[in-house]
Amino acid sequence: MSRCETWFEANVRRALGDDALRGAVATAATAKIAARAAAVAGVRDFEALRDLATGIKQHTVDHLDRYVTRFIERVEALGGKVHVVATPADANECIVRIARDNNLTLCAKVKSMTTEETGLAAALEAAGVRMVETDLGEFIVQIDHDRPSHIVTPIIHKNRKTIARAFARKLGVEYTEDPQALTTHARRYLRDVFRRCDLGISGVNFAVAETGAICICTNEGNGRLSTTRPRVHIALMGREKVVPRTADLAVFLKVLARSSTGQPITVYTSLIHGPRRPADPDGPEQLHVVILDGGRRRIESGEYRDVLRCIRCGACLNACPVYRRIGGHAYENVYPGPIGKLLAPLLNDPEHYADLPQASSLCGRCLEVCPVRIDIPDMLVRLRRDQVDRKTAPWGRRIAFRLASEMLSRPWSYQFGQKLARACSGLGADGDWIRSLPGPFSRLTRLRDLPRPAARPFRQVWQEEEAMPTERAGVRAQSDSVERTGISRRPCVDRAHEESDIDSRIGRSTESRPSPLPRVDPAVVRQTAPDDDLVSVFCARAGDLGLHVTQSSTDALARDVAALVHDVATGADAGAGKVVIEPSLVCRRELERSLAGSMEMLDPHAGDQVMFSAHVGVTGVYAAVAETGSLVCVSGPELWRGLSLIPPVHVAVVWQEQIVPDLIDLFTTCLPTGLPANLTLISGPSKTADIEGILITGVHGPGNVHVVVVRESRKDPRP
Amino acid sequence: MVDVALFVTCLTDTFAPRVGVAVVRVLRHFGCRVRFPVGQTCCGQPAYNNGFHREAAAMGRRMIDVFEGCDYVVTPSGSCASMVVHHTPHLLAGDRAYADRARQLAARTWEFGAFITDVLKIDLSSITADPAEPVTYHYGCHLRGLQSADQASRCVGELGGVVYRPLEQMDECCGFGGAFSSLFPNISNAMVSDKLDAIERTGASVVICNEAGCAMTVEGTARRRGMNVTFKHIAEVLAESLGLMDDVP
Ligand code: SF4
Repeated sequence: MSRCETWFEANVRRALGDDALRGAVATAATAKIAARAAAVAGVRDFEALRDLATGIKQHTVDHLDRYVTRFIERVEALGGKVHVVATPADANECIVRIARDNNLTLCAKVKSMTTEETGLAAALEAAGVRMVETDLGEFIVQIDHDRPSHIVTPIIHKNRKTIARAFARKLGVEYTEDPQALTTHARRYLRDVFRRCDLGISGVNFAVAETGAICICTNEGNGRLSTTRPRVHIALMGREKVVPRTADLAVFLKVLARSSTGQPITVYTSLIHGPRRPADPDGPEQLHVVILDGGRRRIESGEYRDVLRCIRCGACLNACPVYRRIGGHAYENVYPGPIGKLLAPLLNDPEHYADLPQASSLCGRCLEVCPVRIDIPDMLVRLRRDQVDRKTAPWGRRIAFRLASEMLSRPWSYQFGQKLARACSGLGADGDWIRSLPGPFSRLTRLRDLPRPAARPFRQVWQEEEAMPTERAGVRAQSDSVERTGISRRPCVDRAHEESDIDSRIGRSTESRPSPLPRVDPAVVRQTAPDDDLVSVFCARAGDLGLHVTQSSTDALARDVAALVHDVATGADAGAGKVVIEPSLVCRRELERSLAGSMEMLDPHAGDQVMFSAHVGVTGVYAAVAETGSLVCVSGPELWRGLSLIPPVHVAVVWQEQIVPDLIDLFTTCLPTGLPANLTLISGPSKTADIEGILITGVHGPGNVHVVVVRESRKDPRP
Repeated sequence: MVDVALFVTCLTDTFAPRVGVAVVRVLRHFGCRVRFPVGQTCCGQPAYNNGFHREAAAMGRRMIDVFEGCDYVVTPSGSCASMVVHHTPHLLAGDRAYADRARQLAARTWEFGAFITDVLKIDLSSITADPAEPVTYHYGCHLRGLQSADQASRCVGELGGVVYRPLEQMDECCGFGGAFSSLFPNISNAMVSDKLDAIERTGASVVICNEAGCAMTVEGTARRRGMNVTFKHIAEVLAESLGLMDDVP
């Protein structure tokens, strides 16, 4: 039965022969799944959050036109420009046109699977725009002319040796395998890009229809830099990225990072509401949102629409026994792994990707970890059914299954089949096992022994078993055993409702469409208890995230902050001794007085480049979130985005009443009125684990974040 | 008495009749009246999984007819239980004559282990485990949606005096996956090998595996490797522990 190897089979063969690849992918994926499990266990009712996330996304997908239209209206009301495009090529053309119209030449790009889908990099290059990937993993992919092999961790397949070689070759730096040193080289190189870039391109994690916000989640800080520094920001999104309400983000942010990397939340979560306002001191002047169809509309109207719930967390890849063994490149698609087995044939030519739906044992681990309960195994089966119905499945397989089904459908032919199999199996048998089969069947015994059909199948044995006197079968008096084991004659347990429960648990949604929009009940979502001491919770969680937390009082604040700044600003780094202080900081004057003489105070009004020369940025915050330990910073008059982002050390002052219990509180009752152009949650120091999963802090954003918490009410409330 | 119809499944019927016998004896031991509707063949799972849904639906209808009127349908295979519980009702949702009956059959159908712990509510700790050697347990993937790995492995872990050595990555697929293992033998074999490594690391000499397909694949590969482990269905272990299998080698 030799036949031509398909492209996928050839890829699989190569991948399985590459031990280094398999080892790297399996180790990283296993670590991520373990991290996910731990993160999930830390949440009060993660299953309820998954239900909500599933319900919200399903509703949105069912009413996508409505929500996309609303989103477009809001973005435009905020001063952004929206471009709706049909195909990947249209998306690239649109983006290139924006770049040309504005004479943009240097683009800082944030990791985005949608830009991979459109092949944007090549289009920009062809148009003469220099595009630099700024996510560490994607940067390495770019300089090594490689392709990403995972939707979250693009270089999961690479080890530090290959990375080290690429750095030495392309950046001309001394050969080093130390992940910290490699990261520092990348940081230096990309700092220069961030200083000079005039275009920023990002993807979108969530687009909020209610407000026109685009939400971007990253860990390294490159996402913030690329959407802060350049004149023009272009965000490319698939149209299914929309969610109805800001409150929904509280649900999605809680499940996304946990499913993805096992973090409670990504380090930086930015909500971008339009371009910078006239009074904002920094931020892009133009915001363009490009909304891509790219085959999604076709999916929306059919039975595969559930796939559009996907939030691209990558958990299904990490969990997949096939992905773990063959890595991402074997799929020859932007989206590998279980979700890729669906998206590749659905968004592209199903015949080209015909192997992918077959290459699954339907083990169901992907469904088990998917935060939006996409029933991937079920859809793989449907894709197989489509191949059968369209008659594109190989004819041999079609005939074999049809014949087998016929045979298995009648007791007499079924029994005949059993006998035939028993008789034939005698050929290569060695006792109860077959070591090798002849001719075309040898394939079946190449790797393992096959069991022989039993001489007497159960249905023959049964006749004796049925007739067997109960004692011989070891059965005690039955009334006795009933009593002993406490069984009572019970009517059949009606599992009908239980089953529908199973349906909802496993996310089946064949009936009752269109779905209603679930209410986001704060009581379900909130992770803090009403009597929690928010200051303590915040301090503990922020500490877990790697923020350095100290407590202070109104009276001691300026002194304490000055001492802290003094400590952290005298490092050996460039910019040591240089400090930028947010002008509206409550204790600014006192602080400046205390620092005068020992520190050089830079004036943020002097221009953006000041931020690049400073070592420490000192800011207040708009709010803080106890549940996640996050700082919330907003843009606005006299509020620089770059202050909490560009200097390597960030010191933030938080007052007790600024701490809100949970994300849901921030997004429902505590959002600033008149949406700021940028609202960013900072949840830890800038970090990456792209190189062999080793955690490195201070990639592009501050590697050190100090939080001074004042357990008192603020004396001088910021307007 | 609890009335149980045994759905033995085509694989168990053909390759592992001893498992069928063990199921019957254990159920009888615990006071069930066991029937075996002889018209049964296959639940249609292979056809369904491979996209032959017309054929699978026909087999689903046959299942419904054959098992009409039983209180409970118990099967030694988690994947066949899952076929009846999850997939057949969806396949036949549009079939007026069968849709309701498919759901009813789904509600009455149980995988053997779950039936023992959840319906009969047997206290397993009162049964002294035979074998005395260390055992491990392989979780069949298709139990997902019926029972988690933790729930399912209770059947083994709670046996009185058992030396239970849980598998690392217990819920990871063994590589069988029906047609998958013959369409992509290399991927499948990489998975089977890792599973065997994990089994080897437990030091167990008996692997309890309730899925005939998985057992055939993993045991067949173990034999090729020359590994010295025995594969057993939990029904066999229970029956042996209860002294019910002395006459069936
Ligand atoms: S299918 Fe689910 S698990 Fe996979 S990437 Fe999408 S959301 Fe994550």
